[in-house]
Amino acid sequence: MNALKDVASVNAYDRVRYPGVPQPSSHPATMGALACLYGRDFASPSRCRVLEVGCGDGANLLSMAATSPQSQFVGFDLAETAIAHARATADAAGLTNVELLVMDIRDASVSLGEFDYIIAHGVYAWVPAPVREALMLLISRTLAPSGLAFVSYNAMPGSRVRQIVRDILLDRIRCGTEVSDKFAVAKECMEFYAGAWAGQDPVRKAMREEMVETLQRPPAVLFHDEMGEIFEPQFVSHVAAHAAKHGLQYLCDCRPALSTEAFFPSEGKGDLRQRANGDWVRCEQLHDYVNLTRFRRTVLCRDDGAIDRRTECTRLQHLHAQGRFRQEEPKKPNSDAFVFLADESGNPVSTTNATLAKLIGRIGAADPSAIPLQGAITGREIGEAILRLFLGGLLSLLTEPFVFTLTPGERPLASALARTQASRGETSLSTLRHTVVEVTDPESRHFITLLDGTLTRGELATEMARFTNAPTAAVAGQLDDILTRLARTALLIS
Amino acid sequence: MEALTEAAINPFDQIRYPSMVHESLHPARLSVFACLHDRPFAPASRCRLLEIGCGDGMNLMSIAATAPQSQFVGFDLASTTIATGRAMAAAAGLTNVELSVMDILNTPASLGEFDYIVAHGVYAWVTAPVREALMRLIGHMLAPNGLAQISYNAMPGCRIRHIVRDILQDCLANVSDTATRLAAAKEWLDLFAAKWSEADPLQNAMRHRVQELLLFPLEVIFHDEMGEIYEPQFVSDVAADAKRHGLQYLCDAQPVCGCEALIPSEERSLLRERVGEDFVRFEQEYDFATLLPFRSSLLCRDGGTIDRSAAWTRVHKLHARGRFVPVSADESAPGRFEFRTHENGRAATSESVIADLLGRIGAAEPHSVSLATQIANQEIAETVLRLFQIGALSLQTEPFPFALTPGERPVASPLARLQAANGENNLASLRHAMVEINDANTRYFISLLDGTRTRRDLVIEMARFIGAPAEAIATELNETLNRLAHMALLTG
Repeated sequence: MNALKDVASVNAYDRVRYPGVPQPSSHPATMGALACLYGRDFASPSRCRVLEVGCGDGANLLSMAATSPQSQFVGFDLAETAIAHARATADAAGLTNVELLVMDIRDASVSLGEFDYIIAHGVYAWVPAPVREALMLLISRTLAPSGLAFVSYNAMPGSRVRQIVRDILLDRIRCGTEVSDKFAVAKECMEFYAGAWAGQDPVRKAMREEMVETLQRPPAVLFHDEMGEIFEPQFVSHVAAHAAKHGLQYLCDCRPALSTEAFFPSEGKGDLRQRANGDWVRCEQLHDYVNLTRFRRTVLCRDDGAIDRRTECTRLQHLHAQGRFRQEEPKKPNSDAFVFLADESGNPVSTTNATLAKLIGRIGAADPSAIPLQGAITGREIGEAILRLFLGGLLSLLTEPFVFTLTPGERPLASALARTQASRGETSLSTLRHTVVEVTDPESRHFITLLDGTLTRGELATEMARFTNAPTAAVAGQLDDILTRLARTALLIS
Repeated sequence: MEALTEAAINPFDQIRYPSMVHESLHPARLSVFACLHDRPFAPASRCRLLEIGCGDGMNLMSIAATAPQSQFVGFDLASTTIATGRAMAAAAGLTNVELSVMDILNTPASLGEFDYIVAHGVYAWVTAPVREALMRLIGHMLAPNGLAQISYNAMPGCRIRHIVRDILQDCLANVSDTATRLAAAKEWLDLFAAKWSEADPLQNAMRHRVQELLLFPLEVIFHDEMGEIYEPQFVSDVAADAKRHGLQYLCDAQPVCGCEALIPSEERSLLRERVGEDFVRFEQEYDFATLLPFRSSLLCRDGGTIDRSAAWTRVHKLHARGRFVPVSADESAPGRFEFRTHENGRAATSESVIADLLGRIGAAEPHSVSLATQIANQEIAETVLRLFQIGALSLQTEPFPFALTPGERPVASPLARLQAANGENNLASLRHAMVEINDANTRYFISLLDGTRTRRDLVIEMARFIGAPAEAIATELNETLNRLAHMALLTG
């Protein structure tokens, strides 16, 4: 215990703030959708209790809290400065449904209460074994009967390549102590080796790709991940076995693509399924051997009987769908195909089923809002198509729609959390869809801070004209456009 | 301790590690690196060599057959392999080999002092206390001018191999029978190699690794990737461990990475700039840059600094061997001298002095040529070292004792004779290399070459054995003897 206090006093996360970002897949409405597809109960995201273990500066927790004012959110972390930062943000944003604590996982007790959703992002593989044990114990003691837990970790054996990056970085920074020096040394070192690993050698080529990808991550993230004191990537089968010891069971991964084999068993993976012999976790482990998965976001639930992993399209009826689909003219005239361009990448999706086309059209028209699928899944074909769009990452499924408005009123109101962030000059703002939107220009940020529901559109135009030294008429002319744009990024409340 | 001496659970007793000879471990080849760094060394023909973890002693016996005046001691924990080795040494009449069952943790000082200590495939496959004991043993027993070789899987490159181990350990967790394990391992590896996509860089790297692995006998995987302990090491850690035991890092025994200090390459110039004078640091960065999966580190006593300057005259003390077959003038470009080298490679030079030297080396093959008077300047010396580095030429500090002109009563190496009589396909040559003899008649013929039979006796016996007319055998005899002589199997 003394050792613990020592650790707390020199906590690495107190020295370098971990730049937290909302994790869309950890939102109760998103996690719940997966549970629903696997035939499990889930608590309503608008009225639930959420615990985040190792919540850092609260970026994820506060963003979720802003989307569900009726739900209760509890978060704790060992780093005092991070919790102080989170508290200050929560106070400034008036988020009264959030409780933040400085606490060690090993000290957390059942007095925290029972939770419908428990999130531990970036914790499990970066703490020593006793803390991993304490985390799983905490989940098993505080998870509600139909609760869901989110545990993310670097996955073995794919992460052995990340360990190579770590080997090299740790070797290089052994001497330096200054944090800022370490960043510079690490960057130089990674660039050097990314260059040294030129050529066709397959191992060096694989490492080059890994290094280039690693270089794209913020230095502070790298500081805590690859360069952290503890870096113990885990096998999904070990995590599942650990969970089982505590009365929990593996449900699925948060990445929809990893559920593909469950819902649409492929011919090509038939031999792996056969070898797994009905053991789903075993199947996932074998997939990790093939895919060399580097990162996992595992959803756990209570071990109260087998999970029904059959594709049951009627389960979709309970969900809401959101996606960007823009209908295109078919390339060939007189074709009976309906073609849509999905998401930002413009992937084409085509179907000859008119009912399905109509549904996709409705989803696209509602975007960025979600539409209920109740009554829309009229047959297996439609259900499977929607499921495949979800697994392919082209469509989101939610147990409840996010609450925001696309038609701001006379006195527009922005999310209090986003207003707080904007007033602090932060460029990443939390949306009411639990995503992040980048707002880099100071004018837009100032504009957002004004949207507290007290100012009319006219007053907003006057204030922005003053702020930007532009004629009021010009600002007023742009106002509707800007408000519409902000509304579409899910920053406004009706 | 009990566990270690419990021979019954030693995996090497259950599945014999495929016995092989490791050419680079011969003292005449190890000492090349001492010579190139201007360090004193004991002559291979009169030395004491210890092999730690010698298995069935085949590597040791093969060296012993080339150096009858030297003394060879080997030990291993696996009692069955030591028993096999002892029986072979006795049958081959190798009186200069001593094999015993011993634990690295429990080695008596009475073993004496050694000019060479080799430990192949031990260091990364034992626990930390055994590694420590191994290094201590070398620190105690290495002669002042001694040279020690330790091979191991190298970090961080081996983390890729570790993925294979991860997968096999998991997939074979419930298979205990060793034969079934081997078969299952192959099945799983085939399965994953087929599934890994060429388009994904890491999956592609794994495909390559597994395909490479499947070229070796499965027993190698069983002991390496699937061994109970698998702890690849950083070269900088090995050097630091050596230092604590009064030893220092010399260089790597693999020519491809052992010559960098002597003939600095353009490719590694940036790396050299980064590390300055610290050579161990250079080696570690080299491993980062190449992701080298295997190291064979040479250690010597920590007495004084090592002169890593490329003093080319050191090459004078060496002997060179290599295949250089001149390409006819009309086939090569004008003013160029071209040679066919090993493995269908080609070497070309416009320098007639170098062409002369390569011509002489090629003509002497399989014997070596002393370089004492052959190297007139630095450029020639560097060319020789570059050919050595890429494997086109081998260097040694002494010639190997074999005959190219068999006498009236031909004599084969007793070790090769014994192996041939045992029906083995791979025979240890007197150049300390493996030669493959797949045909049973030739093997029988070799077993007859004990110096008691005249060429006529040999013809009659082979005619009887094969059931062919003596005349037919007689006409082939010289050619067969010549072929075996060129394989370095004959002493006279």
